[in-house]
Amino acid sequence: MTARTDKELLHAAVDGALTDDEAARLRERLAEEASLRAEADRLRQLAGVVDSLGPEDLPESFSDRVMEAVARSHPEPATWRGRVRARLDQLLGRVPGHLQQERPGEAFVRWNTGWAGGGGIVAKKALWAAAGLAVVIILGVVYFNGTRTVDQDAQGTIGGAERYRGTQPSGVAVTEGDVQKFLQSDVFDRIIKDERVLKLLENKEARALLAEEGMAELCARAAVKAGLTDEEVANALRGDGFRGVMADSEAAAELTSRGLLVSLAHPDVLMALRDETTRNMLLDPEVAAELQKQGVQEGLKDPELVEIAIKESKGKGSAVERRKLAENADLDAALKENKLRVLLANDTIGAALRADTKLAVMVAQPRFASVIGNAKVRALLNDKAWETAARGQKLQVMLDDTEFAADLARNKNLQLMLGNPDVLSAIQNPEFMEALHSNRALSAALNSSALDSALARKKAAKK
Amino acid sequence: MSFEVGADDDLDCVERCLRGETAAFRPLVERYQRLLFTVALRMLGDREQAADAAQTAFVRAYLKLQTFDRGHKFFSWLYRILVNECLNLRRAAGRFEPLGATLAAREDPAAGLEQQELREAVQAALLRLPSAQREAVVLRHYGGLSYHEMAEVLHVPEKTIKSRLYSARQRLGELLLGWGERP
Repeated sequence: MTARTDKELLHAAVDGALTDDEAARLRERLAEEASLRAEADRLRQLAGVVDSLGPEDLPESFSDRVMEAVARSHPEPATWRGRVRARLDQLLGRVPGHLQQERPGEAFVRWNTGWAGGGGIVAKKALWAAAGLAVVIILGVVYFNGTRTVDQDAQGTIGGAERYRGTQPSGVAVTEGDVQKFLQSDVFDRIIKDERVLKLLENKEARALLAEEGMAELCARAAVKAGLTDEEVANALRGDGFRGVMADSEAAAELTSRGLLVSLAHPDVLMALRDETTRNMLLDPEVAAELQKQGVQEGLKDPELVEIAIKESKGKGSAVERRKLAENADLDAALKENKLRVLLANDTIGAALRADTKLAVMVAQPRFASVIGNAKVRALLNDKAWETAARGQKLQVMLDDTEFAADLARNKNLQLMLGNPDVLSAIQNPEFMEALHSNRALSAALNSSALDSALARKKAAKK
Repeated sequence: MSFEVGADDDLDCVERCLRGETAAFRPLVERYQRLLFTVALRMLGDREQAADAAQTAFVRAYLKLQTFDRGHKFFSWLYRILVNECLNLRRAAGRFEPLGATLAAREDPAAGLEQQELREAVQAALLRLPSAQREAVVLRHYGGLSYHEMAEVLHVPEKTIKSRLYSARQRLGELLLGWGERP
């Protein structure tokens, strides 16, 4: 039995993961060897110290807060029928069926009878007329959302947003009175004193983008909010590099849907791909063939194995590390190939692989060479504002948010919104962001002519 | 700390939520809230952020319930969402804070510390660990997960979990008990 195995047994004992046989073996070894007993004592002491932090008391009313947040959220129905029903719920100003507390099957009955609930029988004829009209509109919306691609013309922006006019993110109707009340509130007075917010509110296209359903919630996500309110990230998004990529439908689709954009937000990856020598090494078809092997892919996603592989490629791996490497036959064999060895021994590429464990997966994709060869992507690689933001990390954290990345890949309006300077400036105002996220009347006001009137009144009063 | 919860109970709640019964999510929240909050706090070191992370994890889980694979345990899936959320918040907040000079300078840092100081020292030491190691220690010691469950949550092989725990404990031993470099 090796010392390493002894230590593994000790750790398994601390974790309560020994089999009966292993426990017996460990007892024997402890009886034999004083140094192992000392090691066991040390480990027990450490476990005691670590475990001295017990479970924590929850913040007050935590479960109520969570359930309130859950009730405000919108699970996206999985089927087109569900999406249509949800849109119908919204248009008719009722709580979506999947958020209501109801008996199983009740939603089906409601869908099939037009029963709107709320304590009274709705005039069926009128309801069916409204529902018929709504379905026509809804199918348009579902089609618009579900099938459009990023290369669609930007002209769809306002039209798309207008189709949502009158609908609210939570599914609970916001009345004209709610909007008016908000426009007369102190919050509204305060936020329009900020020139950035005022400029946004006077820009109808920017307003419409921000009023898109789900946009406020997306912007309020911790990682997204931290990114968008960071000046360096905002500069990068306003910059020619990012806007150029977003305007190029093929580049935008490739980068966002394959998750490559977040890789390009790692400064070390940026450096590796910007440099012609290292770029050519990564684009070598033989390297890609090695990287496509399953074991190599798995190995290079494990930060510890990446370190070992890099050391081994430089001939600096220890015996223990070589044994660990040998457990991954594909990676071990690949490192005996000259090209992969040279690749991993390159410090710039090593830094890139350490920075982004998904990079090896990306490089192995057949489309990688053409994506990196795209003129707009190359411009992004050399964009100074993008590089500065990448060094600050908030950009990569934002792009690494899976829901944000997924939306970015399929939602042209989000891409346009991120490239809109007025939106980017206005959302730097925390009170505006908070109101946008928490006050549905503000979202509704963005698509309302009442906002134009209120702004005109404020201007007139100022004069 | 560990959980002995019937997976069937969880699945029943999930099914009811998917049928539109939002209130059926509450038992899941009440069952896992303390554990999720504790894990988030150990990962992030800040109560407010931990509460945000735990709440966001629950909401995201609710929103994505239809993607939950019934072949897995609900809490493993929930943990995965929480761990991602913590990583996002942690990276958004910047790099790790340095360990307090007083503690780092002690020859045997944990010796003679009062309970509160010890708790603070352990939390600070956890924050000094690389993310992958911290996840392993937190899920094992504060989440009570087995190697197999941790591997499922973190999407890595069990041997990687063991390796990370080993490395993490070496580092914690150095930081908290003055182990020093050992082979």
